[in-house]
This record gives sequence, C-alpha cells and structure tokens, in this order.
Amino acid sequence: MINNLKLRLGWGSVGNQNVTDNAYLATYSSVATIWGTGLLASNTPNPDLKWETTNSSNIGLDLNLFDNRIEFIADLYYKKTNNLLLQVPLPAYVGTAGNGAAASPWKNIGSLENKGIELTLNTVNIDTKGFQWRSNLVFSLNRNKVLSLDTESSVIDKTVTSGSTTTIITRTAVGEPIGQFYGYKVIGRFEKATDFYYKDAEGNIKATALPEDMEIGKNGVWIGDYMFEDVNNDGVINEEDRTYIGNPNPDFTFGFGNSFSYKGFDLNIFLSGSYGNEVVNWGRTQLENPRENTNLLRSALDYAKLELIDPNGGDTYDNVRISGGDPLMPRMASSSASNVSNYRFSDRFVEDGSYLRIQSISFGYTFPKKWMNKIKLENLRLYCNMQNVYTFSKYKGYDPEIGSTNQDALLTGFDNYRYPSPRIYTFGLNVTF
Amino acid sequence: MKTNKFICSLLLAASIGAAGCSDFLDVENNSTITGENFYQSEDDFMAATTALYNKVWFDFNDKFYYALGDGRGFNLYAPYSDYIYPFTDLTETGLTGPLVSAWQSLYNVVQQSNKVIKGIKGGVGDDDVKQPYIAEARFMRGVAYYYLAMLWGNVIINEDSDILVQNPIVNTSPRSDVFEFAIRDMEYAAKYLPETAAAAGRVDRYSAFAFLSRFYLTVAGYSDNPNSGVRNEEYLELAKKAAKKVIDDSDFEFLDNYEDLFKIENNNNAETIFALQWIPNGDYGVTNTMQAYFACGSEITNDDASWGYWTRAQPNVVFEYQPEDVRRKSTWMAYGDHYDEIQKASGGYTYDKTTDALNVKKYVCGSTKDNSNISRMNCPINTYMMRLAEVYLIYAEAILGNNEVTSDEEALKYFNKVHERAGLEPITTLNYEQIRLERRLELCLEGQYWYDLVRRSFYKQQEVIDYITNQKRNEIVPVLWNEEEQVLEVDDSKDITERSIGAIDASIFLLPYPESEAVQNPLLKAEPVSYKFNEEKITDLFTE
Repeated sequence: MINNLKLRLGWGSVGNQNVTDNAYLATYSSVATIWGTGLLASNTPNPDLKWETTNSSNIGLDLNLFDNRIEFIADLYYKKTNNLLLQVPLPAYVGTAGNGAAASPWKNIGSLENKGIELTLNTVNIDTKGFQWRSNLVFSLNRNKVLSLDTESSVIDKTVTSGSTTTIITRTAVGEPIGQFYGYKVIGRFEKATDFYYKDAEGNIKATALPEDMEIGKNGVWIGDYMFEDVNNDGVINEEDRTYIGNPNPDFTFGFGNSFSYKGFDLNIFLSGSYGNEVVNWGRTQLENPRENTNLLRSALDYAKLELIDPNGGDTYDNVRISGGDPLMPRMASSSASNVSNYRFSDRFVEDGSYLRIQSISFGYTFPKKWMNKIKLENLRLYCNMQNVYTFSKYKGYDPEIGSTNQDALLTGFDNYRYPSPRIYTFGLNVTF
Repeated sequence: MKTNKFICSLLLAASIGAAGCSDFLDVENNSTITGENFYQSEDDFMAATTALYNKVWFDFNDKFYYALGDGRGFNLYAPYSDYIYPFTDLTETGLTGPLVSAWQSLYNVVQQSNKVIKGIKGGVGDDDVKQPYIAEARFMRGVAYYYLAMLWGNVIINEDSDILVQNPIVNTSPRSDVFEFAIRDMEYAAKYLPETAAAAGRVDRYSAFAFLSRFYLTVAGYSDNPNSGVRNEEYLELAKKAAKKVIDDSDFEFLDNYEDLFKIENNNNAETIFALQWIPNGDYGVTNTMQAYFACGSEITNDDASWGYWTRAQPNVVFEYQPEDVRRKSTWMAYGDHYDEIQKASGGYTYDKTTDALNVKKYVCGSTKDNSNISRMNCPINTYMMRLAEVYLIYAEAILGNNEVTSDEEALKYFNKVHERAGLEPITTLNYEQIRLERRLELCLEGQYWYDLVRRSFYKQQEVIDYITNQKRNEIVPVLWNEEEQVLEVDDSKDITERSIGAIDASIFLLPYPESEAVQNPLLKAEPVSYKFNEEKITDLFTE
C-alpha cells in the first residue's frame, strides 16, 4: 500500500548581500552646474554593514500511496533572519528624500522570523480506458514576525508620495508582521447634529474628536464628513491616532491544478488563490474623490448629498441632513481641508484582497500518429490557452494580485495604480516534420 | 600524460590558494568617486560647494517658492491648482504636497551642506584654503534654516547627518535658536567668503551681508510678545550696518531697467545677490520648471507644458499698482500687453486671452524658438533668492525702525531708487505702509510677500491678522482690465462668489509639520529644547 515513505529533516544557513554597490562607502554623484560638474553626496554610508543570515530548519514528510496514485508532501519550516538588510526609511530631515537627497543608508536592521507549512497533494483520480484525471493541490501558510529592530523608535514607517501628497502607508514594528498598513480608522460619519457630541461613562456630554485645527463648520467638519477613531483619546484626530488597519500577508495561499486526458485530448485547469490578505486600493483616494479634476470612477457620484431639514431654516449644522448617496461615502466639501481630511489614508481604502483565480485553462488535441504517417508529419497538435481567465474577488480594483511595489517588502499589497495582469488567449498549431 | 594533468591542476589550485581569500574577494572601487578619494584638493572643495546651487533647491523652487511666498501672500489666484490654493485658502495640512517637498528640500540643503562642511574639515588642505568653501556651504545652510525658522518655527537643528542617521528621534530647538543658528552660519559666511566670488553667480561675503541684513531685520521684531509693537534697536542697527556694507563695499549694482532682471540672458546680472542656478537643457532636478506652471498657453512655451491659465494675479495685488508702474507689466500679463522676447519669430507676443484676469509674466520667457536654452519644463532663468533692490528696502526699513515715519535722507535715497526705477515719483517721507507696498510690488512673484507678513507678525501680529482678514480671501471678486487706463476695475455686472477658507488667527503664521515626519518622530511636537552652540559667536564683523 505504501510505495514511499520518507521523513526529511533539514537545516541550512544562507547569506544575503543584496544591497546597492558601495553601500559601506560615501559615494558622490555628479550634478550639472553652470561652472562645470559639481559633486553631491549620493548616499549615507554605513561602514559597519554585514551579511544578512537566514537560518532555516524544516521537517518534511513524503508519502506515496496506492501505487503512487496519491503523493503527499508536507513541510514544516522555521526561518530566522538575522542582521536583516534594509535601506532604512528615515524622516526627511535627515536629508534622505526628494531631489538632491543622499539615499538612506543600508543597515542590518534587526531580525525576523518566518514559519509556516507547505502541503502538496498530487493524485491520480481516474486512470481507466485511456481517460486520466490528475489533480495537484498546493497549500501554503506563512507567518512572519519582526523579532527585533535596531532603530531608536523600534518602528519603520514607509511613506509614499503620490501626486501632491506624502503619507505613511505601512509600519513595521517589533512583535508584528512586517509592512502592516498604518492609518486612520473611520468609525462612522457625522449624520446628524447630535453626532458631534457623545456621553462618556459618567454621563457627561463631550464633543466628538475632530481633526486637528478643524472646527464644526462647512469649511471644517460638517454633516457628511468622516468620524475617525480617537485612538489615544486626547480629543483631537491627528497623526497620533494612526493605528494598524490591515495586514497584507495572507492567512494562506493555495493552488489547485487538474489535468484531464482522453485519447488525443488534454485539458488543464489551474486555479490559484489567496485568503485573508488586505490590499490598499490607493487609486480610490483619487478616483473616488468627486473633487479631483481627473477622470473619476462612477462611484464618485455617490458622495453624501446634503439637504436642509427645514428648507426655510439656516445653513447650520443642526439643520442639515444627508439626503442621498452611498452610506459609506463622505460629502463633497468645498474646503480643501475637509476634503483632505476625508480622503486621508484610512481603512476606507483597505479592502479584502482574498481571491480565487482561474489562472489558466489549456485545451489541446494531438492528432493520432497513424494519421500523421500518411501525410508525412511527425506530430500535429492543435491547442488553445487562456491565461488569467477569471477572478472571484470582492476587491474593487482591477487585480487583487498586487505583490510588492518596487520589490519593497514594506509596500506589499499596496495597489498604487498597478497595471493589471492581462488576460491572454493563445491559439496554436504545433507541427513537427 | 596523466601525471602532467595532475600537476597542472595542483599548480592551479595552489595559485588560487596563494592569491588568498581576502585579496581575491575584495574589489577596489576605481570607477566612482567615493569618500576615500574625495576632498583631496581645493578643486574637490569647489566641486562640492558648486553642487549646492541647484539640485538641492529643486523641490523648493518647483512649487513652494511661489505657492507659499506669493500664493499664501495673496498675490496669486489659482483656484484649481492644488499646489497653490491650500496655502492661499489657509487650509494646508501636514499632507499638502509642496509643503512636504519644501521641508524635504530645505533639509536636503542643510544635510548636503553638513556633509560638505564635514568633508572639507576632514580633507586635505590648510585652514585658510578650506574656510571660504566651508563658508559657502554654511551660507546655504543659513538660508535654509532661515526659511525653516520663518515657516515652521521650532525645528530640528542638526550639524551632522551621520549622528542623526543613528538616532533620528530628537527634539526640536526653539525658533529663536534656529534664527540664531542661521545668523551664525551667515556671519561665518560674511567673515570667510571671498571679497569677490570665483565666478559670476557664486556668492561672496557681501551676499552673506545682504542675507544678514534680512535676518537681523527679521529677528529685530521677534520676541515672546507677538504684539509688542516694537523692534529691537540693536538688531535694527545691525540690519542697517549689514545693508550699508553691501551698498557701499560690494560689486553689486542696481540695474537701470526693471524688465531686464527677468531675461535669461541677464542671469547673474550685477543686481543678483543670490540666485538658484538652473541648467539649460539639463536633466530634471537641475531645471527651472516654474514657467511650465505659469505660462498661460501653449503659444508661449510651444509645447504642452503650459499649465498656468488658471494661475493668475490676485486682484488684491493688481489693485495696488499705479497705472504708470512698469513692474506690473514685467510681473503680470494684462490684456494688450506686448512682449518682444516671446514669439520673436512673429514679432512678439500680445496677451489677449482675457480681460477678466491677469496671467503670470515673471519667470515666463518663451519657447525654445525664442531662446535655445529653453526646453520643455525648463526655462533656465535663475530664481532670485535675493537681489540688491531688496537690500535697499531693508536699509530703508531698518532706518525707519520703530518710528512711525522718517524723512531720513539715506532711507529716502535708497527707497526712491527702487521706487523711481518703477517709473514712479519719488517720495519725501517714508512709513511702514509704503515699505510694505514697495516690497510687495518690487518682489512680487519672487516668493517674498508671505515672509514680509510673517516678519511683521512677530511684533504686530494683530495688525497682520486684521490685514489678512481685510483681504477677504473668501470672496472672488469679478474684475475687468481697463487697457486704456491701465487699471483693474471691479466688474459690477457680475456677482461676487464665495470661496471656502480656513480660520484667520495666530496659527496661520506657522505651517504644520509634514505628517509623516510627526509620525516618525513624535518629539517633533514636543517642547523644544534649546540648542547648545558649539562655537564662539563672531563679533568682529562690523569692526574691521
């Protein structure tokens, strides 16, 4: 019954020196000037730079059953990376951002662990009378955690500049997975005048926290604006109220392939998917904002419409209500401050990135050899391939399979107008003479 | 045969082994300039300071220069340009793009200067060779810190980015220390920069004196009490002395013709005290992009980069020009204005877009057909950071000092030089309002007016708040240009429309820190800690 049973134990240590050249030396870049070439420091050297080392250990099991019709491979791994190499994001006052900046130093920033399971199941489901059905199921689960960070604040914040805004997108902190989304939490919308106040535990009436330097008013906070969570309970919404609002790392990913063959026909279907990861749909901060003068998504029309409760009354906040629009969208504000506040980086733009994708379908027919011999051909095969056939996902953007922006692990799952994967159809004829 | 092979491989193995692991793996860097082979001579020092005149200022120049100086100063009306109107409307936040990039740019100036200073100090050469170059870098750092102090008040003072890299979470220093830091940098520059610069456009010690006069005049009004109403006499005296030194001893000369100041061929003219140096046909980063944001139409730039149709004159400033003031035409295009230097091939350009508004002229120079130095998004006219006319006005203002009015001959003489060049009748008595107006019109679109208001707000804050309130930034007044009379008139046939603006109170005189910086360093908003100056103040500048 058992054709193969193997227990594997492995341990290894791998180095990584994937940094820019001369990161340990001060380098200079030339700048054109009217007096000839000038030289500007182009980096911040780190003479103490070392290898990054990853120690990994794994335990695996290979099991083949029933005439090899079932093949099962399981791996459990633990990887610990020490002296993690990273180009440290620093505040701009260190002189590391924008034109003429000296690039941030590469540093051995800390240590990181990855642990997980990988399971593979290959089966031959049916193999009779020339009909064969094979399946391949892959499941993988990975958890990563930052163990230590060698920065003063023990966090690394990653900012993104897009258009006229520079904002923090992710934070990496000790004890947490890397590159988690870090922004504001929308807890609701000011729907009516009483929303501007609430009763605390002792029954005292208190003012709801408003964004810093903003007051109740049409040009400040108004009916239809977002209410943000006052994380530190200081009564104002400012950068101290940012918090973790999403994790780009999936709970698990999987792949499921099936291949069928009968006589000359063959059919392959491959599905892949990811579950439990979050994605920032950054394009929505602009395309869904009715105040932007770019092309907009149709959903931008669903901004909260306001009307006067008493049409003869004044334009005061106790006489305004929301009369239409999407229940989750803010109003269209004429003041840029209100607009910027509503469209700040919040969990409104963090979406469920889980998906199931029909990655590929290929169908082919190989003509029988005996026919071929008659027309003096070795082989003749007709086939069609479809890539990226369909994706089941709640994600509102084009493509939930985002990856990392600029290969930066700290900007994973950040959809900054990423060009979506194309759907590809291929029809082909293979002829061998 | 077999043995031969064996011996050969043995020899090969031995030779590799003999080369040694470390020698074999260590590769010398011979292709780039690195810290190991730089700062070896005076040429290197000069190459290092040379680079401080353009790229590091690029992000500051690109939008913030005018968005803040003239946008917030209410000289510009740009209702659809999100890089200007948040400043005009007083609704900017820590996320507003140009605010963030200006902060970055000013700190790039600081840190690149720091690296130059540190490099030269540790380089090969005698002190008297090194000092002028250190002074040049400190000049740049001083200018950057002046801006940081004017805009954000309490900021981080740093002299060595290598230390900051190790621990970036540090406290700010109080605004007074930041001003003092900028002044000390500039005083060092005034002492050690050469009498005459090595090349036109590089700063000399009188450039430093000119900036000192601005710094002293600014600090003269700064105290704990923003409504003290008086300026410190000692600093006024220093401002006067510094300005006088520039007027008497320097090679700077006042040009006869205002219009000539804003032509590419007059880059680094005798009136220029310090200007950012942009490169014809240079790469992005050493280019002056301003024209692209200002030009009102493609017929001017001859390409698509002319996004300034809706970046216009605020009627509030146009109302202040007298009809005969020649500066108006050099600053703003009004209906019927003719410019020879634009569209040369067809005999010049006549502005006839609209009578409802005035578009930007200053820093707009035409297309590559008019001047081969111009290319798309790069009109390499130098950006004035200061010119002699301002020194004249500072001199007059310092003499006026705490008096309501003055008829001091010197003050009037230099004030009138500026005033008369504009085509106006000389004045016989001088008060602050005249200086305010003269500075606004003379330096309009040169990124100065907001700083003039901030300078005043240090000792007459309420007056400035009232002034800004009276500007009625929330009203868009329809206007019509009267070409015959050369005046802008309110168009009564149309209604005034409303615009949303932020609250006008004392908080408008400080910009918010970029949000990403405040998140990364929570100490930015904590109480400032006074800066420990680690060198003696120069005291003999005016005793020589």
